[in-house]
Amino acid sequence: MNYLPNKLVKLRKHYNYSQSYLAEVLDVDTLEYMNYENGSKMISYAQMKKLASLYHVDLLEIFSNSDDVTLYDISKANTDEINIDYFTAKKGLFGKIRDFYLANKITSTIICLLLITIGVLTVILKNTARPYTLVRDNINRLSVSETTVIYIDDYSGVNGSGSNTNGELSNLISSGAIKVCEGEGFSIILDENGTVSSAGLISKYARELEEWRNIVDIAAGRAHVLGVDSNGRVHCVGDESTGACDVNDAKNISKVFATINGSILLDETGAITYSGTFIGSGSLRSYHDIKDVASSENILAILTKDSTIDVYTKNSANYLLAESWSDIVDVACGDSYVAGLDSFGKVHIEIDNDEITREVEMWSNIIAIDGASDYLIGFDGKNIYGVGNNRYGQFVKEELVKQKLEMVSDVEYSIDEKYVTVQFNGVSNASAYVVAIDVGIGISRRLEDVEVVRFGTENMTEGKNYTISITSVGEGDYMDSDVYKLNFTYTKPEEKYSFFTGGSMSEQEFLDTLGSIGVDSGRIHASEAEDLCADQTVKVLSSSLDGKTYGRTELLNMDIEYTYCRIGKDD
Amino acid sequence: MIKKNKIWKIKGFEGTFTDEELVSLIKAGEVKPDYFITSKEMRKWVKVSNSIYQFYIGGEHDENI
Repeated sequence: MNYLPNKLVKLRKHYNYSQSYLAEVLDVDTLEYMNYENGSKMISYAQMKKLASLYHVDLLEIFSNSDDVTLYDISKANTDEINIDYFTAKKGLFGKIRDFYLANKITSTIICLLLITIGVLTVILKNTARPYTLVRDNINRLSVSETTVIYIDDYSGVNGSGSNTNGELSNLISSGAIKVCEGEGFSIILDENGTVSSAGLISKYARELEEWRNIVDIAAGRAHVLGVDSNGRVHCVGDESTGACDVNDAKNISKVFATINGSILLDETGAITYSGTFIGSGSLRSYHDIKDVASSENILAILTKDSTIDVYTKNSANYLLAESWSDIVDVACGDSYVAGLDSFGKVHIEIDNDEITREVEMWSNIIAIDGASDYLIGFDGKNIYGVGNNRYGQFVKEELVKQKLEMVSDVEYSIDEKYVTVQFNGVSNASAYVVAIDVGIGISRRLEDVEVVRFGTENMTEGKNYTISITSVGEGDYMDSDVYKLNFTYTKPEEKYSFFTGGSMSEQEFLDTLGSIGVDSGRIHASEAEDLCADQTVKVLSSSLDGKTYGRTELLNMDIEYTYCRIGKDD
Repeated sequence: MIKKNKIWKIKGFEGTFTDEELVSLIKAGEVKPDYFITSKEMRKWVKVSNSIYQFYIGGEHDENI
């Protein structure tokens, strides 16, 4: 049964949305959406994701074919929901305004002029006030360099781990840290009072930083530090040879990002400028308003205003999977990976390493990620989790306590002219069994109490040795079993039976042929049996199938114990 | 930039697949009801037969490879 239609109706009614509104959200016409609810059409993956986001449910709840779905407590509605409600309501409001305007043209014109005047005054007043302010954002609470991790805990305390060669983890004291940045051997902290402190930085630069005031954002590259103040002016200290600090002419800047040897500046209009040299810098011209940037020697990853990631690489490597993620709130990259944090607190990673991918996918409730060339850190507000190189002890490697599944037992196989059938007993807590023979791979199916899988024999060679390998697949708290192996030699079944005037055949084929004309497992059924049974209920004689050739007459005389046939009826 | 939504993984299959490719594979019987699939955004593997994509399953299914 397809439970999706019920689920769609249940969720929609819970939120009191109309079908036409859902059609608008999913960018289809209302009739199409109605087809989703009546089960005659299927939604796409992209639409599933939109619904999961709209209804505040896990994607898995939409995707799983069950009637169970979490109904979000609407009283906990967040900003997104308010926006949705506002947007919905707005249409009605515009309609009412239009009606009022048409009915009272002169009065309405005066009201409009008044509203425009108020709007202009508001803009003027707003622009004379302090234009840029500190923004608290969880993703600013974590920063990573090649050797060190620094983060702000839930109590605004600054903590760190890894190398402390330059004292970068010493004196990390701040009464109200809201952003941390890690460079090569130094740490920078932005306090809510607009001041910047540092640890591990050479004294010349440290003193300069201490003089900065009203700072609203900071960033650190490998050897330079950026800060922007509430007047939109950019400050920079550090290595001047890279050009990363050529930012003095910048005006009205609201946010700064740093690459290894470069600086990226976002102004109040969303326009982007940059200095220094780094991979993908030229592409920045095509962007307007970005949310975040991550960089390594090989990669520039841009978190766009649409909450997706664009990746630029030095060696033309593709990160198509990373570019397909949506609803991303933070981005990180290393020399050979790109990672994204979604608004559900899940971390996605595109890397050519299944073990790391699996480990990262197990992280949950993450609020910030950051990475260096060969490791990635996730932070949940209390603990840091890491994968990759941990040579400086940047993170505590959590040993995942997983129970290895048992190997399967009582493995048997049988060979007929078409299939090798493998049968075995399963084990507790396995989610599936992967069975492989040299000619292919399959997932077993449970038949009664045993697991069964069949492999075609068309690609098997007479007399050749083959190995059956069976793995119990674990999920969650269980890991895959060791591989059970069983060797066998493929021997084509002997074709010693023949039927009517046909050629010789195997026992199985012979039995199949008997079945097709109505003799099956000691019974006679189906219309083909008419030839055998005439119009009466008779006992049928059968043979012991001893390899002889049988004709129709002999078949009639087969001695089948306790068997009868009923003409024209199936048993 | 070219963007391809290679979002699906199929247990036992190499690589990743788009929504359209997965649906085609299910319809063609290449991905069978007992097969496990997942995407980057899901927490675990799900059997095709236990997913809303069982909608696309049709005809006779054989576990043979």
